[in-house]
Amino acid sequence: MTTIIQARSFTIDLPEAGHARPVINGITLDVVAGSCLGIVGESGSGKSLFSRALLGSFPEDAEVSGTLRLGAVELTSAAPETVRALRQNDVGMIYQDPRASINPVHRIEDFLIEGVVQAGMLSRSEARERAIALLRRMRLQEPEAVMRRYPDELSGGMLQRVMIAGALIAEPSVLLCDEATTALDVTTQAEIVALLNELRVELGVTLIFVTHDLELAGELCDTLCVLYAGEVMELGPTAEVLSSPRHPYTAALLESTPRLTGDATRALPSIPGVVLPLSSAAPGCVFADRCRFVTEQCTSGRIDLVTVAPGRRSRCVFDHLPEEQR
Amino acid sequence: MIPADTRLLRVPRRVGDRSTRRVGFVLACGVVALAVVMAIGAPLLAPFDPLAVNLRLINAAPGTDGHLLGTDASGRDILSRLMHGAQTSLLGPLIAVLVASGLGIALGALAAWQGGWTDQVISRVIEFLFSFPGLLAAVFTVALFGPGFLAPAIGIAIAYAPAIARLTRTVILQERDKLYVKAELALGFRGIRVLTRSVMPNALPIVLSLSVLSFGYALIDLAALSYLGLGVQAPQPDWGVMLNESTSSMLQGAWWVMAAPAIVIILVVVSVNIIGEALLARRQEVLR
Amino acid sequence: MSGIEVRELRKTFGHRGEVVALDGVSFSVEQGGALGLIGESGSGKSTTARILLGLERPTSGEVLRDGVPYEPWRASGRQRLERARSIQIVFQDPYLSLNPRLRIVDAVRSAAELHGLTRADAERRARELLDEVGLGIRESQSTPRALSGGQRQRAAIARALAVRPRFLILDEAVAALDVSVQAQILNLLNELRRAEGVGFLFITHNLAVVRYVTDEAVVLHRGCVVELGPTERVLSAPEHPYTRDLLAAVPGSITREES
Repeated sequence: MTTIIQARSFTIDLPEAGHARPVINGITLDVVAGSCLGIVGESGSGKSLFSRALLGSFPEDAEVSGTLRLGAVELTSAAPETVRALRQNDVGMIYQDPRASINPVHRIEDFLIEGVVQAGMLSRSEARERAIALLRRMRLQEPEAVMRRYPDELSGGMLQRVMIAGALIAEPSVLLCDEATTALDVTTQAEIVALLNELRVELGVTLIFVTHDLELAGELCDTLCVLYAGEVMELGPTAEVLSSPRHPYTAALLESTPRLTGDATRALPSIPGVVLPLSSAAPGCVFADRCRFVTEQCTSGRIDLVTVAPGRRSRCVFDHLPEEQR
Repeated sequence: MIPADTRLLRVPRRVGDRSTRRVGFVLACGVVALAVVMAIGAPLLAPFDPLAVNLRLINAAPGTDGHLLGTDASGRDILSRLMHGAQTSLLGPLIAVLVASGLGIALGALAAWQGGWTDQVISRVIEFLFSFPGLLAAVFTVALFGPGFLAPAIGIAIAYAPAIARLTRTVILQERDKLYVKAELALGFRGIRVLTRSVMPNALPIVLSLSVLSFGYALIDLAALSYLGLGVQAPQPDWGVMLNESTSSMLQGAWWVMAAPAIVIILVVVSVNIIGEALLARRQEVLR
Repeated sequence: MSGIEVRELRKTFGHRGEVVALDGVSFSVEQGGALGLIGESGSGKSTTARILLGLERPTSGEVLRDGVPYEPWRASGRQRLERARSIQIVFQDPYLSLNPRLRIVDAVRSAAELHGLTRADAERRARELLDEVGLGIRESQSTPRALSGGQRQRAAIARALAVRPRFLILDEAVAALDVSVQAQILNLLNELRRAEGVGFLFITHNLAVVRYVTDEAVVLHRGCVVELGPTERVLSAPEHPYTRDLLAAVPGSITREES
């Protein structure tokens, strides 16, 4: 088991923007090559910033501390050429809205092969061959015909398959999916998720799946990392996190998710209030003001992420108490 | 000439950091304010009669006998002529821009909001006028109504209206598709109210910054017409007229006679452009 | 019946009507009831909403209000206000559905004023409604920019209710919200339905959400109604294969069944 991504107290602070606390605060995690990590969070959680950081891009005027390693590259201090090479060869990325991230005036073929041909990684015919093979693998009918089409002529689901093929053409070791299925229909979403699962098994590519949807992450990921207000609230094996959440935020998130079973006539449990604004830096837990288990200790000092079970970590006052006091 | 509207939809490239841009903006406002004060206060502030000929003191260098900027080929005080000239030189483009904006916004808004054949007809007219050089339109109006102050200004207004109409149409079309417009219509608000009270206030600031930018171009175009003798007529002290008259002095080595109106025109135009681009940039920032 | 009914709605686009958006859609919702319109993109759910709002006219078919034929797309003058009181809408994207220049309280007040309240009464009604949807004085006084997504959606709901509509179309109204906020809005909608007596047409692709806010559900697929019935029945014992596909695609549905 080799670790492909390693973060240690990784922090992004934006003091210039007048924020009182870091937008990403002390993320520590490891991702094993070939596994799938789900980064789950709502708006303001910092999940998109973190996924961009994995591509070596940080906000302007950001003060970055801690370490974030991808393979052998330390992203927090990498030279621009190193980052460019990394994006070209090692990390593929797919986004929420495929239509917004593809140039509408180029044919699919140009979109797929231009990058690798320009970089001199493959000859034009080799790249073409690989692109067609990838499109076929994405279950697109008549890949040769698809190559000649323009983005406008494809449906959202087809286009997202093309985007995945494009992200995989340089055979990267990591595929970053940032809300990659959010804009798609439910049935299409299910197909894309199945496809990603298959790619992971067959190609051994490491998946980083960034989403707001816990249940969706549950379909695909081995490990879940629940982010809230820039901090890791809970980290652990997917099945365990979903079936027995340790952190009150994870628990509340699961409770407030509408479900197909159970009593729908009673009110859905909701989390009152809003995410702590970046302008306030209360000491202690960032979730304290919305938490129904809040105690005095929650806001009295910093709470660390502690190991609560093998492979499971949580950041809650109750995790710091001895068993009998819970 | 006025730029194509599409170019204006982009954020102007940022030159310098925030503080230098701020200084530039303040300086530009200062220059424009000074020009306006000069124009309005000319009768009181000008040290000499702008039309008083003094043949004993022609092409005098700056500073001679109290003539701060010197005198021209007829011995008239250049500073006083600049100040009095500011009246026509600024009022002309102002009228041109106001008429062009009124016409352009009305046509563009009508086309975008009504759609259908109204849009078809207006868009064709706009395209036709677009293919027409602005100066040529002004020359035509002058040919029709004779030279002077108003005719070229109206000509320029007609020439500038299509760009403003086209931009207005584009931004209102974008705005019209926003959900809040659909929501307000669904609430029962009259279309004309939604257009004038909601859509236009949200869409027009970007058009107004084009109008501000057009002011600079109109100033140059009208000065050019005056230079060609088609605009304000000599001996009226218009900046374009002053440029025209300065050619003979230039030949005699009195460069300051030409430099004075030229520098003033450049300063005002550059300042107006800085203000226009700053307004545009601020608008884009708000949108982001 | 009192309520809204659509019969055999057809809508085609293109010069020769080659694109069929609605292919004979019929359903009804009673006064005070809540109907879920379930479908994916291209199913025709949004076209149906636009027809009911009068933003579009159907190629054929009819809309009935209280059993009487009614043509919202024709409404002009006085009828425009009457149409507005029949049906209102809350859109998916709370960032785009409010006028960015208008303070929240002004947006709500002007809607109430348009429908015959005096300025003072409209102001009072706006305050009441904003309070009811859970927006405080400070939020009410600000422009949409200063609010979060959930707060904006509350504001959009208050504005729609300001005209006292009989029905409210919720067009993917919680789809863009965070899960925790989504639950707040769903609960709010249920409270409002009880308090204001307003009926819902809940347009969504999310089958789980539909359970919490509707009594009946219609499943649309490519412009056709493929299934219609009480929401619980449609979701627990689907008859049409397409409904079953939709259910199977819901994340977590398979794992939960196993456990």
